[in-house]
Amino acid sequence: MAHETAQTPYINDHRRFEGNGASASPAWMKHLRSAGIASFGELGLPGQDREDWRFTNIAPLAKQAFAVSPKRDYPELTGARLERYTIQKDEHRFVFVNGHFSPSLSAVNFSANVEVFNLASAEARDNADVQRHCARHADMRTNAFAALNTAFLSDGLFVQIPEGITIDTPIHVLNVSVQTDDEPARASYPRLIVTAEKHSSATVIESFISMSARASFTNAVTEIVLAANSSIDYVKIQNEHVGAFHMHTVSGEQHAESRLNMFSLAMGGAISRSEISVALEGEKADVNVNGLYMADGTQLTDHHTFIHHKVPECTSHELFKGILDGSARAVYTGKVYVDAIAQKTDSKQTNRNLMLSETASVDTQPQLEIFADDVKCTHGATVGGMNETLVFYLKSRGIGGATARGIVTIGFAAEVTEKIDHAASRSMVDALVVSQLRKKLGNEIPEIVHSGKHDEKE
Amino acid sequence: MQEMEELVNKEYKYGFVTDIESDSIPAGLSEDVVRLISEKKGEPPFMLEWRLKAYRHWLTMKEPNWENVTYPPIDYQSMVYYSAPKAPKTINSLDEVDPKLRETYEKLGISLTEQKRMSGVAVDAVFDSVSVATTFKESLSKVGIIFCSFSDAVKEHPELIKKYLGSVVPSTDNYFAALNSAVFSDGSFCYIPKGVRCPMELSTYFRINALNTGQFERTLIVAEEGAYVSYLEGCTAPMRDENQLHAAVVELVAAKDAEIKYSTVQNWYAGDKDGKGGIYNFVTKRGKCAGDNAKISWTQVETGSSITWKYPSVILLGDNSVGEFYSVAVVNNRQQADTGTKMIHIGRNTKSTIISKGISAGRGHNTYRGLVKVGPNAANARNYTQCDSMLLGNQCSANTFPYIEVKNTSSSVEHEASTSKIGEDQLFYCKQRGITGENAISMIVNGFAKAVFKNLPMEFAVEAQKLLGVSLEGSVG
Repeated sequence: MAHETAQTPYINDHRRFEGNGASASPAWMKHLRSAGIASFGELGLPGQDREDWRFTNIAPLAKQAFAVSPKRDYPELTGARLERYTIQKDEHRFVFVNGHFSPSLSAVNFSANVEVFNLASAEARDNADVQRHCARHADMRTNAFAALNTAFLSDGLFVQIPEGITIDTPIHVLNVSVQTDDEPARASYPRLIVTAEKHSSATVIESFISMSARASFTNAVTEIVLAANSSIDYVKIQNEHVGAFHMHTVSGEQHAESRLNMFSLAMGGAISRSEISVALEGEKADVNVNGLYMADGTQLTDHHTFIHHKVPECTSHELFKGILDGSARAVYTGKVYVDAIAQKTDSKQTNRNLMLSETASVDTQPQLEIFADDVKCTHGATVGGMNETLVFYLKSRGIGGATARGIVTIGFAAEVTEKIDHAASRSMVDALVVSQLRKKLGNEIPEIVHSGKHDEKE
Repeated sequence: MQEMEELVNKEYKYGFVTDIESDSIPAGLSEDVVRLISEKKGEPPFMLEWRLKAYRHWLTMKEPNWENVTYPPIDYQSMVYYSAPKAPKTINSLDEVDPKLRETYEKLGISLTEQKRMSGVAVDAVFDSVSVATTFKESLSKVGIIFCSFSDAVKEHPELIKKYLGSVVPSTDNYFAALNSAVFSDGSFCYIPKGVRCPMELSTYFRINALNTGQFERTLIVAEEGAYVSYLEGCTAPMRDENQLHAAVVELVAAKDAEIKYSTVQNWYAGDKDGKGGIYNFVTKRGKCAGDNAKISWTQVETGSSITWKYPSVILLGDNSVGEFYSVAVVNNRQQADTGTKMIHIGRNTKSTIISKGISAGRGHNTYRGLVKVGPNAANARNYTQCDSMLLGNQCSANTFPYIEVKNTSSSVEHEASTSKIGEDQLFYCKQRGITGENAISMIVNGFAKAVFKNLPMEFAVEAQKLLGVSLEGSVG
């Protein structure tokens, strides 16, 4: 089996990793790591014979061996170079370089009593909250990449918003992937844990960028736990280099009347996959999982979502849109699972794809598994080319063909970006979308203007 | 709700075993059994070769396990692969048919004489694996239509069989298709020549009778250029405690401008309240729109079988060809259904429509699984899919697994699905106007499934609506 051999470098790398620098970690972390590597050893790198991976061939990733990045300084990496990734000037910025916290590049200024520190810090060592949540939510028994991340667990960010506290300034976790030319191909294993206590709220942005144009492997895990009546806005911006491999497991757990509003932008990466699962554990919890993927060339972009309605009266809404050009491939698999007791569930799942080239392709599977009878669950998927009627309309008003196509494409994207509640994040995502389109269709393409937010029609 | 109880516990109406001497071979499967079947049927050598090739390939295959159904492992060596009623050797008229057999048909309400005289439907009645009587054969042959049992076709029209057998579902296609190809007992063959519009609805009633006999039917329908045929398949099976495997293969070939309409009402024994007994219905059904402007339409009403596992598919090869799939699947008690369709768009301007209505009650599990695949050359392909589920009770499930693969830009694929229950307000409204709960449920469910029923031929539509009433447990209220 090719996959048997593909995982061997990681197992060997883990042995080396445990042998040197990582030995200073606390016992609970070491314990998690050995559980992680054991599970990864059993699962192996997933092949296309697994239903979950049918359309996502990770052979190009499996072909190369990526060794875990050591903690080191990169003199060329300066605050000034990271400036343009800033979402909001006064944001609480946590910069992780290849998965390791960089205090010098970060800028943190909390006034409220927020429990926030990196996992390699002294504060995390004996912290009961960290131990309660770290690697407890992302399923490493079935998810090989979550297991692999756990096997190399040594740093990451832990954020706990205390009861009743609202943090207005966004928390921005900037994951930078960087390698010098003389380094071997590097893997980084970022981890973010966000827990919101009762009646608290915050906005968390997680960005993934590459500072070098070499193949690298980012395998991230994000765990978000919302206590009753809490609210989290989570925005993920993945804009790594087109040669990068990006695997991200996002795991959410929501308690009664909590609200989670997620957005995932996927633009970079040769192969990128976000596996988002949310468990609705408390009644009247509400989750929105939205996303936009843009791919060109030979990029493969993949979103897997799993929403588990475990209790009555929860709502979940998903809207994923894709813009595909070149020979790009997109995969969307969404599953909504409704337990027998989860009556009065209200769920909607939509996937729309805009194909800009004859050679692009899409595999979409919006799935429902329903065991309760009093529910409202709908899903829909569309795949289609440019709406030429709209293009004609714009052309008839004197707008050039390329610009007209750009405007229609922007309109397509704006429908989903407007679901980002946090204004600065929305502007950042919009700007990225526009600049990507301007590269192809010219600078006359206008900025995205949202004409007031409105709820999606049922 | 007592009425509901009665409705639920309604005995399987068609549960009886006809005591006719059958010609069976010992249980078990081997190359010798395949040879024996072929020999008993007096088949030409090419047929035996084809069977053996399929059998040898089957040995190399593994039983699939990706489906969303569970059942105990099937012991393929404990089954009898051939069983034929000992009927007179040749039949010239209906009077020569075994009276007991005739009686069975009377009970089923498909009296051959009645059918012949009244309804204008030609019935090729399959009684356990061998076709014993074919009606209307003469009037069909006048316009050049061949409608006969598969065994007869092998002997009388070997050139057609050689040309089309396995052309849509190859013997190596999947585990159950390979098994069927090796041991298929009989089935129906239908050939509509160029430009002929079949003057009547063709129909085959399947019936599983002898104990422990897996039924391996094979149907092949070929519509030549400009031809049209509407084919009905309906089935009932006697009550039985042991699970019976039914692994049929249906192949449809539609040439240029031809149209085939294939309708099924499936009401095999579903097992008792605890899921004991019942038929395993693992079927491969596929049609090929081989020529331009061809059309294939599948309509199915699935109410029986303990496990239904089938995906009537259309390969849209010819330009402008059309594929349709209309389905109502009902599961109750411990029934499981994993059914849907595959629409493979290869030609340009091809169109497909999928309407699926799943109804789950009791502890039933209903899964819609469908594939819409648009190839790179299928310019301007269109697909519209709608799959709705209705749940009655909270111990059942409704699952939807659509697969959409699109490889060009000029196509448009739309998928919509919803899940709902019978609203208490809907029920209240009906009851308040003097309609009993049972009738109200039946009415609402029939309304839910109407989009599919309207595609059935009239006599089937009536039967289907009655079946729905019988099959459903109204645990709402």
